[in-house]
Amino acid sequence: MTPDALVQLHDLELVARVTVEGALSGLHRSPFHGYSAEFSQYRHYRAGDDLKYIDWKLFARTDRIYTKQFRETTNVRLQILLDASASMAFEGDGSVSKLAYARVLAGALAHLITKQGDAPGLTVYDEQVRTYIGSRPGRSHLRGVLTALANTRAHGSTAAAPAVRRAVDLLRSRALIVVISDLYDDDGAFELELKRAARMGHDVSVFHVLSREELDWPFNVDLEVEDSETGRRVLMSSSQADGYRARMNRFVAGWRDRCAAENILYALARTDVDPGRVLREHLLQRSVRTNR
Amino acid sequence: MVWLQPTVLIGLIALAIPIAIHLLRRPHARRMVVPTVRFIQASDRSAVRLRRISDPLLLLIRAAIIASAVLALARPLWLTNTRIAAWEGRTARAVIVDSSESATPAANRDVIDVELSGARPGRSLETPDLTLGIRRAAAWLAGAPPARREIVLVSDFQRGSIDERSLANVPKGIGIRFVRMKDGVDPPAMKGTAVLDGDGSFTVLPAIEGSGTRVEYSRRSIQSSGLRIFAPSGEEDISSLRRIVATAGAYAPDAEQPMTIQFDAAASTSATGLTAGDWTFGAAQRLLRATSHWRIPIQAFPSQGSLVVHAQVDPKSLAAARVVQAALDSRVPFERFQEGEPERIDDATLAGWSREPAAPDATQWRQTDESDGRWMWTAALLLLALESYLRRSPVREHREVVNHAA
Repeated sequence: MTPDALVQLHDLELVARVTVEGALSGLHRSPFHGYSAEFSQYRHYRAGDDLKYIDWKLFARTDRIYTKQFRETTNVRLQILLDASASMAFEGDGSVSKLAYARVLAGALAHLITKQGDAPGLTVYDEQVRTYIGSRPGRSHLRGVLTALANTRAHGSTAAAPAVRRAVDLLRSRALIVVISDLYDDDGAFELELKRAARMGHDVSVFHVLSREELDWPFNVDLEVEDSETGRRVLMSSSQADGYRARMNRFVAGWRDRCAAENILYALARTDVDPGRVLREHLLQRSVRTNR
Repeated sequence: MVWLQPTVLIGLIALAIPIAIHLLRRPHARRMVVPTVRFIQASDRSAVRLRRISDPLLLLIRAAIIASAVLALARPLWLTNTRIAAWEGRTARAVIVDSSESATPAANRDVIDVELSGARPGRSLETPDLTLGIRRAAAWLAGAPPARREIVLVSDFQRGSIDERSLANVPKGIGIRFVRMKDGVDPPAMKGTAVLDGDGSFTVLPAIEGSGTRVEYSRRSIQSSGLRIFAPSGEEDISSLRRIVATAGAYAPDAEQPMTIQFDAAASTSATGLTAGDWTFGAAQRLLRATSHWRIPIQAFPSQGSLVVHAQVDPKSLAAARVVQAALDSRVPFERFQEGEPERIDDATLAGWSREPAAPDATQWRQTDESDGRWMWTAALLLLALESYLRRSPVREHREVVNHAA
């Protein structure tokens, strides 16, 4: 299904299910498996222990082999942070807005988590937290999340850092934190909050939602461009397109590198690519990391 | 500064054209709302500023071009002291040349030329009627460019040819000067004219004696040979008509100017077959002019030296008698008597009527054919060149390219 067709469907639950099924086809198991256990303590390695749980860094420091012990928890908690600032309303060539695309991704993730009996939650923010739904399991809760997603409209400027901090602070234990945003946040505090969340042990992922037009800038005419959030207007000649593309590529690459450095999973979500495919690649990436 | 064509200033509305074009074209680029402008560098905005500074300048120049053209068409005029002094130093002159029978304009051509050569502008009007000439000259001078204005009358100034009433219609600022013609001609020989008087006639015999004119009357019998009347109703009506006309008074018939009046059907009022110079020519014209408002169809034409008049009117009516009276009177032109006037208006009287032309008044600039619009046209052309230069300026384009590249 094309992104256009998916977004055209008003039933977000159906869209989420279709997206998830497309993403999961061919995968052997849920990539979120194993995260339902929380780290409890170290103990000395005994023959027969799974080598996967040996803490090699500790071995390097102490010359002793320790195995990590986990305490089983009831659910994996997923907190989706959805950017609903005005910049997410951009539709590019008029087909899919970034927010609509982000809603599909968020709905699919929530559906996926619910499907395996875990607990999705949702934080919608612009310059402040607009909606907060705690992580709980169950289909009725999922519907609440999907309804909140469906009712989300893009407006306002972006201030992601307080939203991330609040969502993280409200989490009582380790959780999956998925940020879905175009990352147009001038404040470096947003990046610091993501790093903080990752260092607190949360599994942080970023879906960087961008349209084809933003990435490729296919306009060969002079444009008077207006910033959707600040209203600032700038005249841009067609000869500036190359410079724009270079700066945009540096921006994307910068986020990718910084996320990699902080062990944050980064996925570029182009709105002209099937969200199922984006989700599937993310899940594969997650599987690879889990199996390392 | 004054405007000779102030209504043209309404054309300044055309200033809206470049402003409208500027406003319509100013957003050179299509407007688009994008998520962020953070990837458009500040150096690019300098190009934007450059364009926004240049465009108002071009707009200003284009508006100034149109304004200059409109102002030039409105014919501006600076009333400088030099210009006003120049106006005061020249004279617009209408030279009225008497062309009546007693006058000799051909013999006075040099006098007329001298008067016209000193005039700016000058015009000569030849007329046998000086009063009419003065009226025409005053009308022409009223529309003449700013200058002192003067009427010069060149005539033999026969008594009666001009009087104070003729000059009263000349506006006060216009000067009047009289130049007497060098050689007059002798008054034409006067011939007494017979006038019908009841059952007989008398003859007027003017006698010219210096400054006086004496008229002698002498009675003689009616000369009926010069007038033949035909009426379908018979001789009784014709006799009756002759009596009525004689009683009412008219110039007597003359065998040298025979006339035939016929009361029968006339197609329409007309005069045909007349030859200029013949006495029938003037007589027919005067007859038709005199009877034009009577609504009687009358035809007049010459036949073997005689003037034949056809009138469609009942010979028993009073109208028929008036036609006969008018036909008889039409043979004698009044001008003949005027030109027989031997007395001249004396120099002292003419000097009393003379006056100097006044300096041009404050309203005369309206009639000028001058204009300072050429300076406006020059300004418009210079601005056009500047606009063309700025529009195509390679320096400007280069700066934009450099800024874009940056």
